[in-house]
Amino acid sequence: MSILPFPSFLDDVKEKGLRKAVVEGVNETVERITAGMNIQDIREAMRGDAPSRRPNPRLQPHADGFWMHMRPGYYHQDMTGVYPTFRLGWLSTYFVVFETITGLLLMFWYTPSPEIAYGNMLNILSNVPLGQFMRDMHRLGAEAMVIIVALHMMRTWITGSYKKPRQFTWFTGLLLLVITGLLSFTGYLLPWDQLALWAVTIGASMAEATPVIGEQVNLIVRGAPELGANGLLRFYLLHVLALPLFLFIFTGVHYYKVIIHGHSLPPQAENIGEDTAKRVPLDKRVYFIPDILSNEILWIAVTTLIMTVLCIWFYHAPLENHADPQVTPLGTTAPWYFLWIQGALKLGDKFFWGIFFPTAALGLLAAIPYLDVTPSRRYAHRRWMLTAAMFLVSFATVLSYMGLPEFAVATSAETEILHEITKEPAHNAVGAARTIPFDQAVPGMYTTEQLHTLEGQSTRDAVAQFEEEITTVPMYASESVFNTMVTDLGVAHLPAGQIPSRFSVVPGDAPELLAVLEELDEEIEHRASELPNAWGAMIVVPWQDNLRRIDLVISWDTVVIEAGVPQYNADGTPQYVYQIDEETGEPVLNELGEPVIHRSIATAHIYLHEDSAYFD
Amino acid sequence: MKGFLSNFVIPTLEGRIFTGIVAFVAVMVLLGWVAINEPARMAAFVDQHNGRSIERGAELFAANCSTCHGPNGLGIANRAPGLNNPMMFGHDYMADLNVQISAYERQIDDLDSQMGDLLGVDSGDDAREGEREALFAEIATLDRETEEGAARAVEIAERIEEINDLTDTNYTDLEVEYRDLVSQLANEDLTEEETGTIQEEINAVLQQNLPLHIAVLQEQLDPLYAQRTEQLAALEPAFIAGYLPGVSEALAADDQRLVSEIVRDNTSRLTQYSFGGDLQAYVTTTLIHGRPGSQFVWDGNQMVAWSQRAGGPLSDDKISDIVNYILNWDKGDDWTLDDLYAVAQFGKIPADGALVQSGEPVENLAGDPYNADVMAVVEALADVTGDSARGEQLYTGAQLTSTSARLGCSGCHLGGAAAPDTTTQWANINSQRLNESQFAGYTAEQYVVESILYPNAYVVDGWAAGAMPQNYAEQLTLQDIADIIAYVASYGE
Repeated sequence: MSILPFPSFLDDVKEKGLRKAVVEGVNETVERITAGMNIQDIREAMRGDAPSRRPNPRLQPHADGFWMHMRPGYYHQDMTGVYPTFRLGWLSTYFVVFETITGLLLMFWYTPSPEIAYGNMLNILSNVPLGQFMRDMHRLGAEAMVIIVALHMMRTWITGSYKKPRQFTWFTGLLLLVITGLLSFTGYLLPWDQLALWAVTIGASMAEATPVIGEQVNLIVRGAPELGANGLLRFYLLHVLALPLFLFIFTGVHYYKVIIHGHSLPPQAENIGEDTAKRVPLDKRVYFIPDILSNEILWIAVTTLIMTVLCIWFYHAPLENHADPQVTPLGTTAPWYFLWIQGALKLGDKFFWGIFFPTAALGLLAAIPYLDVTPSRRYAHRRWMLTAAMFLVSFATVLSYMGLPEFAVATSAETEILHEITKEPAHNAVGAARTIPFDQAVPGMYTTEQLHTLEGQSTRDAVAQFEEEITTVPMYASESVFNTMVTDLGVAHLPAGQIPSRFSVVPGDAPELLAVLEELDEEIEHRASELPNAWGAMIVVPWQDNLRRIDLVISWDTVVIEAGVPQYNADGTPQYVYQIDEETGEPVLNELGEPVIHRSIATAHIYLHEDSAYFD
Repeated sequence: MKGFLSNFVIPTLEGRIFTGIVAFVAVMVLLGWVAINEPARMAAFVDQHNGRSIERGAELFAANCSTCHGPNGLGIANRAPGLNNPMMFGHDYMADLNVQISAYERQIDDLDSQMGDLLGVDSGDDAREGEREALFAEIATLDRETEEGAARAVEIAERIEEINDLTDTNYTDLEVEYRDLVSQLANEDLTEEETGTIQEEINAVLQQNLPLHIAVLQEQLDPLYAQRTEQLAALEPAFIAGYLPGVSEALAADDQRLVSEIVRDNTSRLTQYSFGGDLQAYVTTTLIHGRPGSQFVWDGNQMVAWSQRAGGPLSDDKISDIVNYILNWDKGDDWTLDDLYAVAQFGKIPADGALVQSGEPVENLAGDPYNADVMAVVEALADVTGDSARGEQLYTGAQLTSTSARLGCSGCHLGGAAAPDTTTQWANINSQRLNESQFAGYTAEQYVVESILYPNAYVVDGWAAGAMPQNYAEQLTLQDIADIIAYVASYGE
């Protein structure tokens, strides 16, 4: 007899024999873990058989188990299809877990300090097995989560599921959308690269426009007037502690509301004004175990597979150069999901478009269930709301486009062209000059004029003719253009002694080099109104044994440009800028007594290392 | 609603379970595949990142470093040393030869000190030339009549015999034996075994007489010295830029041991500078902290601290980009003589500079006999002639004072930037200050001395008190202050 107040396992063995005692013991344990289903019940469920005992053991976990109590015991048959939910709510939940797990793993290798954060990224990429993969998954998961949560909201809006009694569910959902955006935004800063610093600087500066407290808000979030050690620490703590806490709490509230109100049926499946989600007729019931459960696991398994495939072959989390508060990269933008605010800011007042407009837009969204109180959820009866939804999507898209640097940001043509061709890898794009394979970066001096041969002229002659023109004809004050170019390059630290003395034709075995020259030429042609009569040049110079320097030069006749638009005379000819004699202040005249057009030169350069592998 | 829109995407339970399992297994297989490829990917990333770091470093070097170190890192004469430089990377053009030479030298030194050890002195030379002569001298003075004297004479005789035995240079017979054995070695028909036997015999002969052994080694070393002199001639074009400092003189004096020492200590920058770490650490630490005091070596050009950590402009990532760029100049074993000739300036040893002070204490104005007393200094100044040219050098900090201090007078006074203007000071003192009642009886000289030693005794209206350092009495000697006064007064003439 056992000394325990209940029969021990040994007693069982004595009574029933070992085999039976073990089987029953295991069975009992399984039943406890599943909060109500024993092995036989699970076997039946997985086979798709009907439950063999009453009451239905498959409902027991929903009543007694923690995890299952958050899910309804059965769905209405009309809710099992892709429509009307598209499983977006479930996927949103899955991404919360997905991001938590990948994020926790990354935390092992991360320290929130400007001194080492970037080094941590390099370490993750260079020294942590599967580190890059984990970072890619976390980053892509974050982008996907923003999209899915937003789509989930749009779906709810379109099917009218926010209507009574689900007004508060909608509100918590909107909170979760905002938290998702903030989570993604705070995570943006953590790698401490140029992309992070400047995207977040732009995003955070929007908060500055808040009246009265803007400066304080800004200071509290950033920890200093500029983003630095304090700002990074605050963003980190928001990202890994404060925001997830709110996210989990409101996810719980949201889930609770979904359970007590049930999933709203497709609008056409019930009578107008009725909410039959909780009154599912017996013949319409699809039990959670096993059908819904297997379906949900299927969805996340496939989603994980898709994410894995994307992160292996198609997507890598960006990592630009180390953050540098001194250097603002050209074409900086906020994260894409905040682009619409950046676009709105270009419409006018910083406070109105940067603060009032987004706040009002979110406020209106939150108020939808209380504004749209008509009983019908049928599409035909909700034309105004559907129109509003479509309008919102279109407006946000247009505003986001307006947020891009391409829109209404006046940068001079030559700066844009040179930046386009030489830019460091950013936003998964890289300047063409950097993609030249090292062995094709043949030292020499090349010109776009080789692409503009006259009829019957060889490329060699075209280059020779060009060379003669710019070295002998004084086009720029009293100096030849060539000498001016050499002086300008000297300022850019290219010693005159290293510039080849002659132009040459791009060698035939360097097609990539030629392609960049062609791109330069094309870009110049494209902006011919701002850069009339222009030519481009590329100078490749050996620098170290495995390092070359590539200089790009654009030279053009200067025209008057106002707000990015070239000005024309009444007769349609461009308004040129003419050379002025510095001593007399008079325009310089050529032999024919005509004023000489001022010739401009712009240069940019990169260094190209054998192993930098931008072309991979 | 039809199809998947109204029902499960996969209608059957087993279909869903199967697809889910396939997806899960696929994820695991893919993960495994990624994991297998990780070492290669990580290695590639390291290369790629290093390449891009070098690219950024090139840009930073051009913008920040090329002014002094030259656009190609070859250095600028008397301004800053070349970094694109075989000596920087410790390339030894005479590596094999130097190894052989130092092996011989070490062996000779060992034998010599072995001899010394046996005799209880530093080296064989010491015993032969030093002690033995002293003993001969002593024995001549001994009074052998006394018991003590006789005993001492015996002692000395024994000692001299001991020394003679060990340092015996009367080895003609042994040498003949040795030469004979060596000539036997030249015979090509010898078997390996026979060669070994002869070698053993040679060793036995050499071991019998240390001086002979040393002489034999020296004989083998001499052609190596000749070879080295020849090779050094090829390196000579670099000497003018500071390569192997002092080697020309040592060669001219035919002091081969000194040449060895110079070559050993100056072929690699790390050895020359006695730096304990590797080159990367050396470059990094120099970039971070700069070279305080380098202005004394480099004609007033100082390598300042570049890291934000040490008050400079660059963040750590940029420092490491520049380091990567500089280290990328290394050509390993492929350095050519042209690379050496191209270097415009080699690194110097800090001790070469003016920092080295003479051992004699310098009399500054704070100590005897002046004790920082204005009147005492003024009286003493009557006997000293000031040199206004040196005064100007001291005033602008171009030259150090006799106490090795660098003054910064011109920083504030020149052009009246933050203190009375140098050019009008002397005239103003004479025309205005000395007419004020409190300076009754002052000479201009006295006024200046007081102002330098006690800046706050009187502060001209419009300038802040306490701005001028108050330790000039320690920094200046009588001659220094005389020169400075001569310089300041030169504007009043």
